[in-house]
Amino acid sequence: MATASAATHTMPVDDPIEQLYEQGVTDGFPVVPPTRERFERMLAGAPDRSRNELIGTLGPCYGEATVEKVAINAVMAGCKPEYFPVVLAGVEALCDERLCAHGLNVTLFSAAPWAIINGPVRLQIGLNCEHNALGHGFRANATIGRALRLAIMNIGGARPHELTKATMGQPGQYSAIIAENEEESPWEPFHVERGFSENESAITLFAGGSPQQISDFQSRSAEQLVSSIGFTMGGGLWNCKNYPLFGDTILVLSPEHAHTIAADGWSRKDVRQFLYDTVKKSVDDLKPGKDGGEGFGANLLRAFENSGIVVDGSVRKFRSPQSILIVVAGGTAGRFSVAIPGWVADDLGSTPVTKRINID
Amino acid sequence: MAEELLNPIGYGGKAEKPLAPRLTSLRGKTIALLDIGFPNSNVFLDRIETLLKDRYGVATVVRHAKPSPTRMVKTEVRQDILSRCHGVVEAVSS
Repeated sequence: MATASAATHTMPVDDPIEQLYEQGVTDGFPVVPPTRERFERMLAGAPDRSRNELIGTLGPCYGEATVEKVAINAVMAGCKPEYFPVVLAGVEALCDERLCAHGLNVTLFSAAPWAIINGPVRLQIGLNCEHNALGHGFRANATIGRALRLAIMNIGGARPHELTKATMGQPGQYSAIIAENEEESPWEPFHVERGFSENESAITLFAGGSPQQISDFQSRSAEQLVSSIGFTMGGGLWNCKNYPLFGDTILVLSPEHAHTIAADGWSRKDVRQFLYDTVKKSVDDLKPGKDGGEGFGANLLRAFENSGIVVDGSVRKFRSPQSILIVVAGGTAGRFSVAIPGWVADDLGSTPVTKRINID
Repeated sequence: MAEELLNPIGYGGKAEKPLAPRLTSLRGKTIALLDIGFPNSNVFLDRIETLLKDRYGVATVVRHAKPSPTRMVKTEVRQDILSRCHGVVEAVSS
């Protein structure tokens, strides 16, 4: 009689999951076999889209992201058909040259396409935006981000140890979804700031690094709390001496933190402006020294002085108030927020891109 | 019987490509130096240009640059390198 351990060695050679591993088309986890039946069901999730429609070309190899190819990858990721419009909008954002998918998928910086999702679609398809919002356990969160990763690999051609050379990589490269907890936010939804109405759904992609959790249990005023969060961001993002940051930053505020801040009448804009104005260091603290060789050399300091980056002997952490993107997510209990540093920004790298999600 | 599985691949095959044939000599050749945009790349490539000409007899060095380290080289630059250069050094420094 076969034992359980022996059974692991008698895997049929035509096991489709094993075949897909051999083809190198998985992210390391088993994928759902893309049968024609599942593929047709996925396409039915976006009935207004032609299966041959070209959404765009996806770097680094600039493969053609057709609705069909995206559907196959969405099946493999484990998506339900009702998630498919979100995946399509995400791929549309990936193909937007402002995001620079080519660069973010080959850089040594360990970037992931963090996706912020807003609007009615969150509740319609069961995206978790409450406790464990950035974590595991929810099919929509896990598989939509995974579908974007599989599209990057299988349509964009970005495979680890081939073109993808991130020095470290990060867990967000499997799936990195932030569904805003609009119901518990004291402010208008994030996508409304970016030109959409509350009744629309949208996905924003951001080339981001690893999330850093920031706790603050004791601050009870907006100024106390944003100062505390800013002090942590000022030391933790990129490097303690990387002033100003090369990239943009996502700040995910927990509902408790957001409500403490809003109770003093502060808007998102006020938070951004306060962080921009107050998170700074003196030039003397930014020079290479006993705390490390990283820092301002004479040439960099001269360049920064000439370009107005050094003001009254100090340098701001953030390049502009607008470089800080503020989202509210997570459970209603807990004074923990999260900061996600971005990869290099603008013409040098990536600009966050928002696309409308076409749902009924 | 195994089920038919649909192909998820949307790009032109494996990313690996064979190396182009190596030059046997640099003497009299035209070589492109492509600055990919990291700090001090120009310092590094200036030195490479001097060495190519003085030590290896390279006739002409053509200098080009990417828009930034993260952006693709422009098509016209690629075409210029392909049309009149025997080799290219794509280089980084820091």
